[in-house]
Amino acid sequence: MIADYFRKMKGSTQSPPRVSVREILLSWAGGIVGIAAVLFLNDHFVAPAGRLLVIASYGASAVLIFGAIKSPLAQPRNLVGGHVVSALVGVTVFKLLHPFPWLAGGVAVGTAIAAMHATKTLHPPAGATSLIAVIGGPKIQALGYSYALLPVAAGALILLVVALLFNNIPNTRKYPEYWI
Amino acid sequence: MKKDTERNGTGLPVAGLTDADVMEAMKSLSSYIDITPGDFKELYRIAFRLAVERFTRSVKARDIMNEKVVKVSPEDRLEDVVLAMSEGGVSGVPVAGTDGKVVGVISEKDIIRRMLGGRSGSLMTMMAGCLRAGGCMCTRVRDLPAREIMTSPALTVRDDATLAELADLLAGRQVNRLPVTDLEGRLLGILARSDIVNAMMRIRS
Repeated sequence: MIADYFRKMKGSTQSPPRVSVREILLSWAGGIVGIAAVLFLNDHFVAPAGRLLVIASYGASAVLIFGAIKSPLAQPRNLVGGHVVSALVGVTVFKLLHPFPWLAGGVAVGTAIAAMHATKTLHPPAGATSLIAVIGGPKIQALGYSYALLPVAAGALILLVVALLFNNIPNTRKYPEYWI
Repeated sequence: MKKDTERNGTGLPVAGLTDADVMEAMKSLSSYIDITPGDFKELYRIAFRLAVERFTRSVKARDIMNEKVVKVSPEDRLEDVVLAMSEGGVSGVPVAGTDGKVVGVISEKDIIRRMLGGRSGSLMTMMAGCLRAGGCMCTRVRDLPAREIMTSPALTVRDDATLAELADLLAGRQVNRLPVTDLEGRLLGILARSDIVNAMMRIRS
């Protein structure tokens, strides 16, 4: 039985093939355009008003919506839904458990995963969105539930718009696979 | 990993799909596919099995049976039975009464057994007997009625039997043709072993 347990760690299949050079370049360009767009809007419109539009989990979202655009994890429902659901979970857990930051962080991420599964919005980068609600510092913690709207929902929607505009230009790409 | 075929527990090649095929297919899609080749094969295996099951349950005996049946009646003499089989180019016939109900089947084996006096044997056994006797053994049985030669009761199937049931039925038996009947046992058509094999082969295309 112990042997079976360790045998599972050997793996059972092989790594998927490398994508074409064209695909690599398209993913590269998409990542640049997507994140630059959100940062540009942040620096010129949102930051001057004293708010924040960018959180680190968008870097991870960009991997999916520009690098794995056919993945269920990268579809609009998951991108926007996953971030918003996880933000709400993160804020709620912080409010309840903030005296124990280490526990709050774990519970926030675990609960975000479960909530995303239950709502069919699994989007791995959103795990970070729930964690940021807990460990993102006083400025983010002070936002309360409005964190789920700005930066989270607003940023995710901007990324979605860029993904729609960018991914449908090349004839080899089509986005999304489904909306909801 | 570049094996042409993979083998399952029975030593037979697994229905086609190899890791190399999956890798090749994933490459042809150009974009990154968020699944391992192993998971894809597992999904394919399950989905293919479901498709086969759906097909073998949706195809019924009446869909693949031959409605032009060479049949004889219980009172027909063997001479007429042999003539009907010879003209129809078949090696077996159902025996049906005037009400259309199947009461038995006659195959070449039944006839040979009767000519050999109850022993079973091949065409060669019979010819050996003829040569030794210095004449044909046909003459002494040609007036026997069909009901005395036939195997009865016959193994028949209802017209709504599924392809899966037909395949199961034939797999364990020496029978080569199955008369197809309605609810009351009246003859509607006949299924040769080859009809069933051909229908199973259609799953591949």
